[in-house]
Amino acid sequence: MNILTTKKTTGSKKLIIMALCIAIGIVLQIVESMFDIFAVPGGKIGLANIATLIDMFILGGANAVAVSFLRSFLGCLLYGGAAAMPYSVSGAVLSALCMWLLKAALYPKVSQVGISVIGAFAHNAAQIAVAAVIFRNGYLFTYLPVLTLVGIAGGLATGYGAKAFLNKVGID
Amino acid sequence: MTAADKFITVLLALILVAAMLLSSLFIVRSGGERVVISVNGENYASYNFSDIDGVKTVEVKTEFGCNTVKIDKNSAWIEESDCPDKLDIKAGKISKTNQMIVCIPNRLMVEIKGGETKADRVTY
Repeated sequence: MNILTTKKTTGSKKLIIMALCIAIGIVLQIVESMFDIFAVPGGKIGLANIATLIDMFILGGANAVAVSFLRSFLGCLLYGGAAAMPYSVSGAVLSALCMWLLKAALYPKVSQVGISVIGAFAHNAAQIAVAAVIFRNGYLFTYLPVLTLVGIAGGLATGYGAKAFLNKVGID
Repeated sequence: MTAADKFITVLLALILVAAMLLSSLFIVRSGGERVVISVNGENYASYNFSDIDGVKTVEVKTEFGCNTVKIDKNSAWIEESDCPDKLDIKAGKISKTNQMIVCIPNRLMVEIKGGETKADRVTY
Protein backbone atom coordinates (compact mmCIF):
# COMPACT_ATOMS: atom_id res chain seq x y z
CA MET A 1 0.00 0.00 0.00
CA ASN A 2 1.34 3.40 -0.84
CA ILE A 3 -0.09 6.86 -1.14
CA LEU A 4 -1.22 6.22 -4.68
CA THR A 5 -3.20 3.13 -3.84
CA THR A 6 -4.90 4.16 -0.62
CA LYS A 7 -8.54 4.85 -1.21
CA LYS A 8 -8.69 7.91 0.97
CA THR A 9 -8.22 11.02 -1.08
CA THR A 10 -7.35 14.11 0.85
CA GLY A 11 -7.41 17.52 -0.72
CA SER A 12 -3.66 17.79 -0.80
CA LYS A 13 -3.19 14.32 -2.29
CA LYS A 14 -5.58 15.26 -5.07
CA LEU A 15 -3.89 18.58 -5.64
CA ILE A 16 -0.44 17.10 -5.85
CA ILE A 17 -1.36 14.24 -8.14
CA MET A 18 -3.41 16.44 -10.44
CA ALA A 19 -0.64 19.01 -10.62
CA LEU A 20 1.93 16.35 -11.42
CA CYS A 21 -0.23 14.73 -14.07
CA ILE A 22 -1.00 18.05 -15.70
CA ALA A 23 2.67 18.99 -15.70
CA ILE A 24 3.73 15.63 -17.11
CA GLY A 25 1.00 15.87 -19.70
CA ILE A 26 2.13 19.31 -20.80
CA VAL A 27 5.73 18.20 -21.13
CA LEU A 28 4.70 15.12 -23.11
CA GLN A 29 2.52 17.25 -25.36
CA ILE A 30 5.38 19.63 -26.05
CA VAL A 31 7.89 16.83 -26.66
CA GLU A 32 5.51 15.08 -29.01
CA SER A 33 4.94 18.17 -31.10
CA MET A 34 8.60 18.10 -31.98
CA PHE A 35 8.28 14.75 -33.72
CA ASP A 36 7.67 14.74 -37.40
CA ILE A 37 4.15 13.60 -38.01
CA PHE A 38 3.83 10.13 -39.46
CA ALA A 39 2.62 10.84 -42.97
CA VAL A 40 -0.83 11.99 -42.12
CA PRO A 41 -1.60 15.56 -41.06
CA GLY A 42 -2.11 15.42 -37.34
CA GLY A 43 -1.05 11.82 -36.85
CA LYS A 44 0.23 11.55 -33.31
CA ILE A 45 1.38 8.98 -30.83
CA GLY A 46 -0.60 10.68 -28.11
CA LEU A 47 2.09 10.64 -25.43
CA ALA A 48 0.25 13.11 -23.24
CA ASN A 49 -2.52 10.58 -22.87
CA ILE A 50 -0.26 8.60 -20.56
CA ALA A 51 -0.64 11.33 -17.96
CA THR A 52 -4.41 11.41 -18.41
CA LEU A 53 -4.60 7.65 -17.93
CA ILE A 54 -2.43 7.70 -14.83
CA ASP A 55 -4.62 10.35 -13.28
CA MET A 56 -7.74 8.44 -14.27
CA PHE A 57 -6.64 5.31 -12.47
CA ILE A 58 -5.54 7.09 -9.33
CA LEU A 59 -8.15 9.80 -8.92
CA GLY A 60 -10.97 8.71 -11.20
CA GLY A 61 -12.48 9.46 -14.59
CA ALA A 62 -14.08 12.80 -13.77
CA ASN A 63 -10.80 14.06 -12.42
CA ALA A 64 -9.01 12.87 -15.52
CA VAL A 65 -11.36 14.90 -17.72
CA ALA A 66 -10.43 18.01 -15.77
CA VAL A 67 -6.74 17.14 -16.00
CA SER A 68 -6.94 16.56 -19.74
CA PHE A 69 -8.67 19.89 -20.25
CA LEU A 70 -6.11 21.79 -18.19
CA ARG A 71 -3.22 19.92 -19.74
CA SER A 72 -4.22 20.67 -23.31
CA PHE A 73 -5.29 24.23 -22.58
CA LEU A 74 -2.13 25.16 -20.70
CA GLY A 75 0.05 23.17 -23.06
CA CYS A 76 -1.22 25.12 -26.05
CA LEU A 77 -0.99 28.39 -24.18
CA LEU A 78 2.60 27.69 -23.29
CA TYR A 79 3.83 26.17 -26.52
CA GLY A 80 1.47 25.08 -29.22
CA GLY A 81 -0.16 28.39 -29.84
CA ALA A 82 -3.74 29.53 -29.46
CA ALA A 83 -4.57 28.40 -33.00
CA ALA A 84 -4.02 24.78 -32.01
CA MET A 85 -6.33 25.03 -29.01
CA PRO A 86 -9.68 24.08 -30.54
CA TYR A 87 -8.14 20.88 -31.91
CA SER A 88 -6.06 19.99 -28.89
CA VAL A 89 -8.61 20.75 -26.19
CA SER A 90 -11.58 19.19 -27.94
CA GLY A 91 -9.55 16.08 -28.66
CA ALA A 92 -8.22 15.77 -25.14
CA VAL A 93 -11.58 16.33 -23.46
CA LEU A 94 -13.64 14.06 -25.70
CA SER A 95 -10.98 11.40 -25.42
CA ALA A 96 -10.97 11.62 -21.62
CA LEU A 97 -14.78 11.45 -21.54
CA CYS A 98 -14.87 8.36 -23.73
CA MET A 99 -12.15 6.69 -21.72
CA TRP A 100 -14.03 7.45 -18.52
CA LEU A 101 -17.15 5.90 -19.99
CA LEU A 102 -15.35 2.78 -21.14
CA LYS A 103 -13.57 2.40 -17.84
CA ALA A 104 -16.82 2.77 -15.90
CA ALA A 105 -18.57 0.27 -18.15
CA LEU A 106 -15.98 -2.44 -18.67
CA TYR A 107 -13.00 -2.11 -16.35
CA PRO A 108 -11.40 -4.44 -15.29
CA LYS A 109 -12.47 -6.48 -18.33
CA VAL A 110 -10.62 -3.85 -20.35
CA SER A 111 -7.22 -2.67 -19.32
CA GLN A 112 -5.54 0.67 -19.87
CA VAL A 113 -4.53 -0.59 -23.31
CA GLY A 114 -8.04 -0.93 -24.69
CA ILE A 115 -9.13 2.25 -22.97
CA SER A 116 -6.23 4.10 -24.53
CA VAL A 117 -7.13 2.85 -28.01
CA ILE A 118 -10.68 4.16 -27.66
CA GLY A 119 -9.24 7.38 -26.31
CA ALA A 120 -7.05 7.69 -29.40
CA PHE A 121 -10.03 7.22 -31.71
CA ALA A 122 -12.13 9.74 -29.79
CA HIS A 123 -9.28 12.24 -29.87
CA ASN A 124 -8.94 12.00 -33.64
CA ALA A 125 -12.69 12.07 -34.18
CA ALA A 126 -13.02 15.27 -32.16
CA GLN A 127 -10.19 16.95 -34.05
CA ILE A 128 -11.68 16.07 -37.43
CA ALA A 129 -15.08 17.26 -36.25
CA VAL A 130 -13.59 20.61 -35.25
CA ALA A 131 -11.84 20.85 -38.60
CA ALA A 132 -15.06 19.96 -40.40
CA VAL A 133 -16.75 22.89 -38.67
CA ILE A 134 -13.95 25.37 -39.32
CA PHE A 135 -13.58 24.36 -42.96
CA ARG A 136 -17.32 23.78 -43.37
CA ASN A 137 -16.62 20.54 -45.14
CA GLY A 138 -17.72 17.07 -44.12
CA TYR A 139 -15.36 15.38 -46.56
CA LEU A 140 -12.57 15.94 -44.04
CA PHE A 141 -13.85 12.83 -42.31
CA THR A 142 -12.23 10.82 -45.06
CA TYR A 143 -9.01 11.50 -43.14
CA LEU A 144 -10.37 9.89 -39.99
CA PRO A 145 -9.73 6.23 -40.84
CA VAL A 146 -6.09 6.63 -41.75
CA LEU A 147 -5.50 9.06 -38.88
CA THR A 148 -7.00 6.64 -36.41
CA LEU A 149 -5.11 3.63 -37.72
CA VAL A 150 -1.94 5.52 -36.85
CA GLY A 151 -3.61 6.59 -33.62
CA ILE A 152 -4.38 3.00 -32.64
CA ALA A 153 -0.70 2.14 -32.80
CA GLY A 154 0.02 5.14 -30.61
CA GLY A 155 -2.86 4.25 -28.30
CA LEU A 156 -1.53 0.74 -27.77
CA ALA A 157 1.91 2.06 -26.95
CA THR A 158 0.72 4.74 -24.56
CA GLY A 159 -1.76 2.34 -22.99
CA TYR A 160 1.02 -0.09 -22.25
CA GLY A 161 3.16 2.73 -20.93
CA ALA A 162 0.49 3.90 -18.51
CA LYS A 163 -0.27 0.31 -17.51
CA ALA A 164 3.38 -0.36 -16.78
CA PHE A 165 3.61 2.64 -14.48
CA LEU A 166 0.33 1.89 -12.74
CA ASN A 167 1.21 -1.77 -12.24
CA LYS A 168 4.57 -0.74 -10.82
CA VAL A 169 2.92 1.40 -8.16
CA GLY A 170 0.36 -1.22 -7.35
CA ILE A 171 -2.68 -0.35 -9.41
CA ASP A 172 -4.08 -2.75 -11.95
CA MET B 1 -3.73 -6.99 -22.80
CA THR B 2 -7.09 -8.51 -22.01
CA ALA B 3 -9.42 -10.28 -24.39
CA ALA B 4 -11.66 -7.24 -24.42
CA ASP B 5 -8.70 -5.01 -25.31
CA LYS B 6 -7.86 -7.19 -28.27
CA PHE B 7 -11.47 -7.28 -29.37
CA ILE B 8 -11.82 -3.52 -29.27
CA THR B 9 -8.57 -2.92 -31.11
CA VAL B 10 -9.20 -5.46 -33.85
CA LEU B 11 -12.82 -4.42 -34.33
CA LEU B 12 -11.88 -0.76 -34.57
CA ALA B 13 -9.07 -1.51 -37.01
CA LEU B 14 -11.39 -3.56 -39.21
CA ILE B 15 -14.05 -0.87 -39.24
CA LEU B 16 -11.45 1.72 -40.20
CA VAL B 17 -9.98 -0.38 -43.00
CA ALA B 18 -13.48 -0.97 -44.33
CA ALA B 19 -14.16 2.77 -44.16
CA MET B 20 -10.99 3.48 -46.11
CA LEU B 21 -11.95 0.97 -48.78
CA LEU B 22 -15.43 2.37 -49.10
CA SER B 23 -14.15 5.89 -49.29
CA SER B 24 -11.64 5.07 -51.99
CA LEU B 25 -14.31 3.23 -53.96
CA PHE B 26 -17.24 5.58 -53.58
CA ILE B 27 -16.11 8.97 -52.41
CA VAL B 28 -13.01 9.58 -54.45
CA ARG B 29 -13.91 9.37 -58.11
CA SER B 30 -12.40 10.14 -61.44
CA GLY B 31 -13.86 12.87 -63.60
CA GLY B 32 -12.51 15.84 -61.75
CA GLU B 33 -13.67 19.03 -63.46
CA ARG B 34 -12.56 21.91 -61.32
CA VAL B 35 -10.41 23.01 -58.44
CA VAL B 36 -12.20 24.75 -55.60
CA ILE B 37 -10.10 26.79 -53.20
CA SER B 38 -11.63 27.87 -49.93
CA VAL B 39 -10.38 29.69 -46.89
CA ASN B 40 -11.97 29.36 -43.46
CA GLY B 41 -14.94 27.59 -44.95
CA GLU B 42 -15.63 30.28 -47.50
CA ASN B 43 -15.17 30.07 -51.21
CA TYR B 44 -12.03 31.82 -52.37
CA ALA B 45 -11.71 30.86 -56.00
CA SER B 46 -12.58 28.09 -58.35
CA TYR B 47 -11.03 27.10 -61.66
CA ASN B 48 -12.14 24.68 -64.34
CA PHE B 49 -9.50 22.29 -65.63
CA SER B 50 -10.76 22.91 -69.12
CA ASP B 51 -9.82 26.60 -68.85
CA ILE B 52 -6.25 25.92 -67.82
CA ASP B 53 -3.34 26.39 -70.22
CA GLY B 54 -0.02 25.17 -68.89
CA VAL B 55 0.34 25.78 -65.17
CA LYS B 56 -1.75 28.33 -63.35
CA THR B 57 -0.43 29.92 -60.18
CA VAL B 58 -2.85 31.08 -57.52
CA GLU B 59 -1.50 33.07 -54.61
CA VAL B 60 -3.74 32.72 -51.61
CA LYS B 61 -2.87 35.46 -49.19
CA THR B 62 -5.21 35.87 -46.24
CA GLU B 63 -5.12 36.91 -42.62
CA PHE B 64 -4.32 33.30 -41.79
CA GLY B 65 -1.28 32.94 -44.01
CA CYS B 66 0.06 32.64 -47.51
CA ASN B 67 0.02 29.62 -49.82
CA THR B 68 0.84 29.18 -53.48
CA VAL B 69 -1.55 26.85 -55.24
CA LYS B 70 -0.66 25.49 -58.66
CA ILE B 71 -3.07 24.02 -61.15
CA ASP B 72 -2.38 22.25 -64.41
CA LYS B 73 -4.56 20.52 -66.98
CA ASN B 74 -5.60 17.75 -64.61
CA SER B 75 -4.14 18.19 -61.16
CA ALA B 76 -3.55 20.66 -58.39
CA TRP B 77 -0.96 21.04 -55.68
CA ILE B 78 0.50 23.47 -53.21
CA GLU B 79 3.98 24.65 -54.05
CA GLU B 80 4.71 27.10 -51.27
CA SER B 81 3.32 27.65 -47.85
CA ASP B 82 4.22 29.71 -44.82
CA CYS B 83 2.87 27.25 -42.29
CA PRO B 84 5.29 25.59 -39.85
CA ASP B 85 4.90 21.94 -40.88
CA LYS B 86 4.45 22.22 -44.67
CA LEU B 87 2.22 19.17 -44.72
CA ASP B 88 0.22 20.70 -47.54
CA ILE B 89 3.30 20.76 -49.75
CA LYS B 90 4.21 17.23 -48.74
CA ALA B 91 0.72 16.11 -49.69
CA GLY B 92 1.67 16.25 -53.34
CA LYS B 93 -0.76 16.39 -56.23
CA ILE B 94 -4.46 15.70 -56.31
CA SER B 95 -6.45 14.99 -59.42
CA LYS B 96 -9.57 13.01 -58.55
CA THR B 97 -12.96 14.30 -57.49
CA ASN B 98 -13.31 14.80 -53.73
CA GLN B 99 -9.61 14.61 -53.12
CA MET B 100 -8.36 17.49 -51.02
CA ILE B 101 -5.29 19.19 -49.65
CA VAL B 102 -5.65 21.04 -46.39
CA CYS B 103 -3.45 23.57 -44.67
CA ILE B 104 -4.86 23.66 -41.18
CA PRO B 105 -3.02 26.67 -39.74
CA ASN B 106 -3.86 28.76 -42.79
CA ARG B 107 -7.40 27.37 -42.95
CA LEU B 108 -6.92 26.64 -46.60
CA MET B 109 -8.58 23.86 -48.50
CA VAL B 110 -7.99 22.86 -52.11
CA GLU B 111 -10.51 20.38 -53.45
CA ILE B 112 -11.21 18.74 -56.74
CA LYS B 113 -14.87 18.71 -57.64
CA GLY B 114 -16.69 17.47 -60.65
CA GLY B 115 -18.76 14.77 -62.25
CA GLU B 116 -21.69 15.27 -59.91
CA THR B 117 -25.22 14.71 -61.02
CA LYS B 118 -27.58 17.67 -60.90
CA ALA B 119 -28.91 16.35 -57.58
CA ASP B 120 -25.50 16.54 -55.87
CA ARG B 121 -24.73 20.05 -56.93
CA VAL B 122 -25.77 22.54 -54.32
CA THR B 123 -25.56 26.25 -54.93
CA TYR B 124 -25.42 28.71 -52.10
